Parts: sequence; structure tokens; C-alpha cells
Amino acid sequence: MHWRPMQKHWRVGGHLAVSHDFLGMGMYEKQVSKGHLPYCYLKVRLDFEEDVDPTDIDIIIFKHIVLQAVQSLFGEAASCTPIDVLKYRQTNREAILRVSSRYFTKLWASLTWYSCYSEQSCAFRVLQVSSHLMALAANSRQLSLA
Amino acid sequence: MAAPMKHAAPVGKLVFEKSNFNDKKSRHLQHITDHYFNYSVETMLPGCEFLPSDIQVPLTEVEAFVSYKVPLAEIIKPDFLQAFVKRGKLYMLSHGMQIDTQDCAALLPTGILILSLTKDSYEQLGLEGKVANFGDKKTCKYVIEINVKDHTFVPGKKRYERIKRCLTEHLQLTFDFLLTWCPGDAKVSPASVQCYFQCNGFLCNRLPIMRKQKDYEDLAIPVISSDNPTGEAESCCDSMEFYEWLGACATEVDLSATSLDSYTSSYICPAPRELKDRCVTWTSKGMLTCASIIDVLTKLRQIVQKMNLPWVSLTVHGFMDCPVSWGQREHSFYNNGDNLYTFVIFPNNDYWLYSAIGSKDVCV
Repeated sequence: MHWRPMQKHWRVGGHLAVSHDFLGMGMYEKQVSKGHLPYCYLKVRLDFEEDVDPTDIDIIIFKHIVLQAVQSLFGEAASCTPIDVLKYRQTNREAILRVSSRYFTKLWASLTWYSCYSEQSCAFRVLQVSSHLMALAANSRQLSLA
Repeated sequence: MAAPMKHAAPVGKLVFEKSNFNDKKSRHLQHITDHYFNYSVETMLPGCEFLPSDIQVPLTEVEAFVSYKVPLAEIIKPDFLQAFVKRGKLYMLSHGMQIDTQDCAALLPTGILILSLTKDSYEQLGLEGKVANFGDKKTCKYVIEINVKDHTFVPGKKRYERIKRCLTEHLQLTFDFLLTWCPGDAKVSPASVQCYFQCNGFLCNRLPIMRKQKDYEDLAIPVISSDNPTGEAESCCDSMEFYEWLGACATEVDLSATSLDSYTSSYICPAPRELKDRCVTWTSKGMLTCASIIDVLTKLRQIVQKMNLPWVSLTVHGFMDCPVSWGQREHSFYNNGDNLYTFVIFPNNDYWLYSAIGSKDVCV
């Protein structure tokens, strides 16, 4: 991964430079990225209108559905875009997708428009979106008070 | 998708800092204590065969509560302010309200009551506030800040009476609150606040803390060097790739099955990497106090040196629907409500600190 923030601000050494050099410690460094980070991550779930056997859709088919969604809205060339299914849970068809942040909006649009797989009505639910994979590890909106 | 959307709005911001714990000007403690509302804490200990028993103790001792349907007028009562707000650190956060479309409230330990209101509520309430950074004309939100610790904020004073009248007569704002209280006097129990609400006729229950532990065997971990976060030398990995890998572990992505030419995913553990026989991660979720996180950090610093581990990580997630991220910096939910930070702690007392926030939030 080649990380190239759009706007970055370096403050190397800063107020600590003299004392750190003297003590042989590392320098203080700060890097702020306000622009696009390289990837965006989406936690999505594929819901069907009618009950579907969970074993019917494995990770290969799921990836195929995602590419089909992209292809149906943005055409053949779009299927060349790298989209990674980082994690897939077959029981509820929940997945974490990774896509370059430049294509993120188009992927989201494609998933929203997708509505039918092998003549069965379905819909993608986008549960969580972030430019940090770490952020998908917790969702405070799911806090249970039980 | 052939034509990328270069000008689409960014989804989030990331701040990376590298410093040393022994540095007098290091702001690691300030960073933790300013992040008032903590939902989840996760640590990762690579090369550790078992989880040290005492590390979880600070988090198990946290006493958090949830109090249902509490009117805001109840919080500004002089008895409550005197007993809890002025004699300790009280953290209160509205629960079940989504900050992008609904009213939210938070009481900070500094005594600032923050209301993040929709336009309708704001106009009905009639208190002076300011337009929030977040939102457009349709989804406009307003932020009201009230200092309840102020010595002039007492019954009989004009401002107090006006706020009381607005909260009782104009608009009776009522929330379910998550709360913790750290009393200033060690002899006083933090559960006193639960008693107070129960005695005043509110349902107030203990908020359970969910714990989860995961053990890895034969896990490939990236090699990192505290001195070289940009990964310029080929002997160590870039800090941003490492952060993504930490995220992959936290979300339980199975890295053993993927390869670069896989159909489903091209993501693999960044190079250079080394194989560790054992690796332990554990997570606590609930409402956790800053003091308990500082305790965990202190214990992790001891462990990384005592057990000779290459590094350990500590990740803290905030609440998505909290009106503030760090200090009184405004927080909102646009694509996401990210406000989280990760410490990577090295045996030589160096640390890397990643702070991730939403695209519309004010930078740390």
C-alpha cells in the first residue's frame, strides 16, 4: 500500500528537538491527514425478501454479486476495479468490503441500486462505513442494555 | 467505475503521532483524559501465551449505569449538582439518540452540559446556542453549552431561572442516560449516583461490561520499528499499513486464507513479517472511564518490558453519537461517527498514537 495523503502537515522535532537529541530519544513526529486515505471500508449485509438457505451464498458468490452490482450500474470496465471482501459471515451474509477511496462513492451507489439476484428480490444494507478498518471493530449504536 | 471520483468528500481524518512516554511534554495522559466517553477498549499482545490476570482488573471495576427517561431539568437541580457534579467527575451521555438527526445531550466531567439539538427543538427551547459545524440548511443542528459548575449557576440567579424555565415549560427534553461517576472522596461509592436516581423515582440499572478474549496461534505479524514509522528502510513496515493490519485483526479478518491473487480478497499481512506462536487479544465494551484506561496503559507499559514483547496495542473507541470527541471539540455523524485512538507501545517507552475522527470533526 502506498500511502499518500492529499494534504499533509509535518511537524518533525518541533518543541522537543533539543532535549530529545541530548537524551538520545526519538523525535516527536506528527502527521495529519485530512484528505483521502487510501481505502474505504464498508460493512454491508445482503438481505433477501424471502428466506434463503444460508449455504446458497458463499463468499465466492457474494463477491460475484458485488461485482455484478457494480457492472450493472457502471459497465464492464468497472469490474476491473479491485474490491476486496475482507470478511464474510455466511449465516447472515454480512461482509466487510475494501475499496480504493476514489471508487467508494460508486461502489456504494452500485450496492444501493442492486435489487435482484437470480430472480429473488434482495437489498444491500450498508451498516457502517469508514476510512479506518479499525473503526469497524466496534459500533456503539449496537450497545445492548440487557 | 472506470472514471474515479476524485473530488468526492473524504470519509475520515487520521492523525499519527510518535513520541516517548518519558518525555515531559508528552500528551498521552491528556489525550486519554480528554476523550471522555469511551465505548470499547481492545488490546493486542503479540507473542504472549496467556493474558496477564491483573490487566483486566481496572476495567472490571468500572461502575457504569443507565438511567431511563431523565428530564434535563433533573440534572440542573441544586442537590444533584452539589452532590455529584461538584464532588467528583460525572460523565453522562444520552443513549439511543442518533446525533445526525435527533437531539443528544452530554454532561462532561468539567461541568459543561452540551445539548446538540435539531432546529425544531432549538427553536422551541429558546436558549441561546450556535450553529453546529455539521449539516446543511436542511439538517441544521444547534449546540448549546451550559456551565453547570459556574458559581453563578444557582437558584435565584437570572440565568439559572431562565434555563430552568426553558427546560420545564418550553420543552421538556428527556433522555436515557449512560453515566459513570468518579467521586472525589475515595470513601464514597460510585454507586451513590444510582441510589440518587432510584430514590427520585427513575429506573437506574447497572450497565454490564461485555468481555471477549481471542487467542491466535501461529499468527504472522508485521515487523515495525518505533524509530521508523514511514517504513523507508525495507526492514520494517509502514505505520499506516500496520494500522490497517491492526484493524484487520480487530475485525477478525482471516488472514491465513488470503493471498495476493485470491478472487475474493487481495489483502495480506504487510511485509516484512514474523511468525508468533501465540497472540492474545481482548476487548471490553460498555462505558469505560478515562482513569481505568490510564491504569490499563500503565500495566501494558510494564508488561511489554517485563515479557519482552515487540509491542502491544491499546485501542479505544468512543461513542458514535457523542456531541464531543476530545475536550469540547464538536463531534458529529456524517458517513460515520468515528472517534477512536490507538496506542502502539514499544519496550523502549516510545509510542505511536493514531487518532481517527470523522470527516466533519475538528482535528485533534
